[in-house]
Amino acid sequence: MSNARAAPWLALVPGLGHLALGRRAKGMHLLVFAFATGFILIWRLDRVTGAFQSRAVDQLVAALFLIGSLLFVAAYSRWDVQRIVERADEPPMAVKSPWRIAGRRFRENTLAVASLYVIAVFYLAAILAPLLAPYDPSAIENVLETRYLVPSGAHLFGTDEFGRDLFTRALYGARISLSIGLLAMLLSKVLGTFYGAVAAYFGGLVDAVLMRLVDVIIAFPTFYLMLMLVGVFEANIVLLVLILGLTSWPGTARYIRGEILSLKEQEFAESARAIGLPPRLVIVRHLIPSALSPVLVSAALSVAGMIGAEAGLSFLGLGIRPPTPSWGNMVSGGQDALLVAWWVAFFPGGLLALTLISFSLLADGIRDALDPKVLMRRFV
Amino acid sequence: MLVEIKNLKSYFFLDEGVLKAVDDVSFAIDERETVALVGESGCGKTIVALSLLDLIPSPGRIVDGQMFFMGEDLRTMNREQMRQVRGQHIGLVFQEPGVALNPVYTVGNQIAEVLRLHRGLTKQEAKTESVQLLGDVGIADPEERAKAYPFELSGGMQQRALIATAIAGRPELLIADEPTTALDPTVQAEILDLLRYLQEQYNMALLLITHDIGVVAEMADRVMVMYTGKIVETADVHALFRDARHPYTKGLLGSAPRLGVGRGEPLRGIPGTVPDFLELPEGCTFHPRCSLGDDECVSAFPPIEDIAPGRQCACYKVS
Amino acid sequence: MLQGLMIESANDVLLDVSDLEVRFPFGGRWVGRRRWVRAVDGVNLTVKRGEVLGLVGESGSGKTTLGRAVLRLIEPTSGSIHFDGIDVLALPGVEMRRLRKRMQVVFQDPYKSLSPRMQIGQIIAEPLRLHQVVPSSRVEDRVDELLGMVGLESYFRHRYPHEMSGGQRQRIAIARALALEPEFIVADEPVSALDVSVQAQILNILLELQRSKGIALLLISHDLAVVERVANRIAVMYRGKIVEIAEAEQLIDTPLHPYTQALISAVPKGVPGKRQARIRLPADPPLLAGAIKGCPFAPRCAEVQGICREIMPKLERKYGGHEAACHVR
Repeated sequence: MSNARAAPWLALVPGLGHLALGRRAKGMHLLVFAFATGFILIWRLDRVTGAFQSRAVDQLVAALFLIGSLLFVAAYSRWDVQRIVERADEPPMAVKSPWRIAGRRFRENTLAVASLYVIAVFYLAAILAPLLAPYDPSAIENVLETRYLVPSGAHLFGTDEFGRDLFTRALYGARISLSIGLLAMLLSKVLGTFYGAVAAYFGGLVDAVLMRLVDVIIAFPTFYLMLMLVGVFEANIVLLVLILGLTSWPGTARYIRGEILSLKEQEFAESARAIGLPPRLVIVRHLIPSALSPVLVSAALSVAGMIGAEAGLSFLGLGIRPPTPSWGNMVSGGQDALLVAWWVAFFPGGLLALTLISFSLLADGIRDALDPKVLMRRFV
Repeated sequence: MLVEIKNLKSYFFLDEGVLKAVDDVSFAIDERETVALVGESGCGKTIVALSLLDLIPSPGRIVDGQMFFMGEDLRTMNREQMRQVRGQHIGLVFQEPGVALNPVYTVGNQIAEVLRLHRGLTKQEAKTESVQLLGDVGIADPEERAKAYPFELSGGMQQRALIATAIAGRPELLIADEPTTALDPTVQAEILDLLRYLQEQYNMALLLITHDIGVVAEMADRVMVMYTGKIVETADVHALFRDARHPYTKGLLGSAPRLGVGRGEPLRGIPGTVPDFLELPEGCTFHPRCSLGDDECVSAFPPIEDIAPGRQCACYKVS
Repeated sequence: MLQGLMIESANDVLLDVSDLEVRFPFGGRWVGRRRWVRAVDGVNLTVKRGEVLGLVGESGSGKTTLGRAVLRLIEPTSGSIHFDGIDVLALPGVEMRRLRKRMQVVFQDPYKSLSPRMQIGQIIAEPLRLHQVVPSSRVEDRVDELLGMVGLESYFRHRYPHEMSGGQRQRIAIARALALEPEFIVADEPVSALDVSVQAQILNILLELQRSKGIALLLISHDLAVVERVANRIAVMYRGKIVEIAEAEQLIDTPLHPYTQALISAVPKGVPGKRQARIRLPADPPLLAGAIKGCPFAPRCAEVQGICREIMPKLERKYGGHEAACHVR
């Protein structure tokens, strides 16, 4: 720890401070991230400044995110290093919170960690799409010369029938697909948890009525409802998020309600009531955290499901419509040219597959990490 | 000598290290004798029983030692022979009968299964005999009860039924692992009476595994006290209660409240807690909690020695 | 020795339970006949300030339900509970929560009674912060104090329940119960799930607390020996009713009710070689629903008479402070 003196100064470069202190994993992550964002910033400086001038929303968001995250990483790096150095004299306190234990187990699962990286990279690429994309996603020029070009250095994924660069379109398509997946999942889980908690909290008639409503929604053929709605209204991100989110929350609601009702009888919940905690706090502070683990697993799977659903709808022409790229409609667009220009359908399809697999592996990883058996060790 | 165990070692191989659940344990059980294996939770006493029957769950296994039963070394037996031993010669009664009985079969069925398997009875014979056994273990209306499922019976009756399955094969040795812990006091008393009665009826030896000193006083002929995988004291029951030698035994005896004794006074107790198996203290594992502990005790675990005829103790401070 | 043997005057009654009944429904909610199990069937009980009342019974006796009902963790179906003169069952939610400062609980299973995702320090601080009994700046100190009272070091504050042993968790449960400085604690089988040597430690803590702080205790257990150690008076429950109640010494030495006698004879005496004469009870009939005519113990009682099956015996004073509900004795 003789580096402790030097560390705060080294920390001016994010990650170096941590490496000096022996925190390799954290240091490497910070360093790589800082370098990557820094590199992008410098490489695309023109676009970044252009974003501020033109005030185009898309560009602005990407630029702000880039600059913001770079600053954040730098600040965090310094702050964390200082904190570590300050605490250097105190005995290391292994905080064994259930979440930390789960985190450690997760990190030991290489497959899960790898899928987490893949997902992170995809999402970052999606957010920074306007800065990263080599071309304009809708630009059409010299169609006859640029259509169906084989993947090459100039066009990583080749071009489609209109000569548009597919790598660019894939990046922009990622924005649509990934954001719809995430937002729809959040809507579904948050709404479901809240609904289930309310039903469990009130109990009695309220509970009965709320749960019958859930039964009705589950029995409803949501798929056809979706088709209908999409057919009637112009499909955009918001609509799709709403449709996907609002048709899938009942499952979570049911589960949360059941869990809370059963946890309510456990002694730690009674203990909370015994000290005079009002029922809503008992639920929020004690019961929901314990009920959350399976919801997290289900959330990861749910994102995959939502992404798949959006892709499916767009593929059928019912979701996001061209020219706005979404992985789903890109695959559909490439269908006809499959024998002539396989890359048009292959890359978006491949990206979809990779994303879905990653989320699935992530869900597995979360489930294994949260396995409650890790908290019990008595068998002798 | 019905059972003779020599230097038994059963370890669990975990990611975090090797857990020495049973660490060099030796003892013997005579025919028709009642021996109590006493210790608190986590001392390894259950693993001793499981070792005898080769039922240790992974990642545990027997590492060393010999286990002689009726002259034969159990460790040399193959699967088929062990299965025979388990049903026919050694019976095992668990702590929680509700869990040990199969919930989807009737009680009569489960007893009959043992009878068909280990005593070669026909289906009809087994049926009659199982009703008989249920009656023997003190269940009223055995004909009706034989058709009942475990969940329909009270805790006490479940335990009786479980005992019936254990003795159906007419074993020479009955191992009862905390047979009364999950039961009400009045029921506990009945089960203990039942075990004693059956022992006499069927000429069985009884290995009673328990943490309850009162049960030991009532049932045992000889007592062995275990701590962190080792036996620290053995003695005949009268000698033990009159004059326990090992500090841990003394502590245990002082911790258990007895009716009519010492009302309103604090119990003697043992300071500290049982150490984690993976972080055992150096030398004598009890020394951090022992009032007699000193430097001598840190060197190595004291060997168990004879201190009087029929008495052994593993303590440097006791001669 | 035990404190509080001399408390006589009525002003010292802290808890007054009268005709308490807790019924649970089972069978047919929307269809079929609704039936009720009377877990607590007309119980009268008092606990004086600083006194330890032991409540003994086997499974099905209703002792656990009674313990919870007395704290209003379960709503009784009828009867009344008065705490220091306050009508507990009439209190609205907010005031009830405030009253809880004065009456606390320690549960049986140390593995389930602590919130698994909170640090020990947070668990103990929770009641303090909720009722703001000490200013925020002093909360940490108070937590350390409480940990000290139950014999735990301050650094345990940062640990999580799953890192601690059963005995340690039970100490934490006690520390948390003490946080609000209650006058009354219900301890429901506080040592049943613990090893013998740990049991001794916890019992000693309870004894010490009662001695130094004068906290009244309702100690619920199926283990007579444990209860006898700590209690001033002992009440015996059977099938939802109290069948006998007396000073601890009297109850153990001269039990009146046949059930109490059977219970005492069932406890292993801890002296080898005495094959004691046990009172054998015939098997228990299944839990009956609805009103029981006559004494609930009649089907198993060796001294049953005709009247026992017809009329429910009332708990009445037989002599001194000794009450029993029996026609025969």
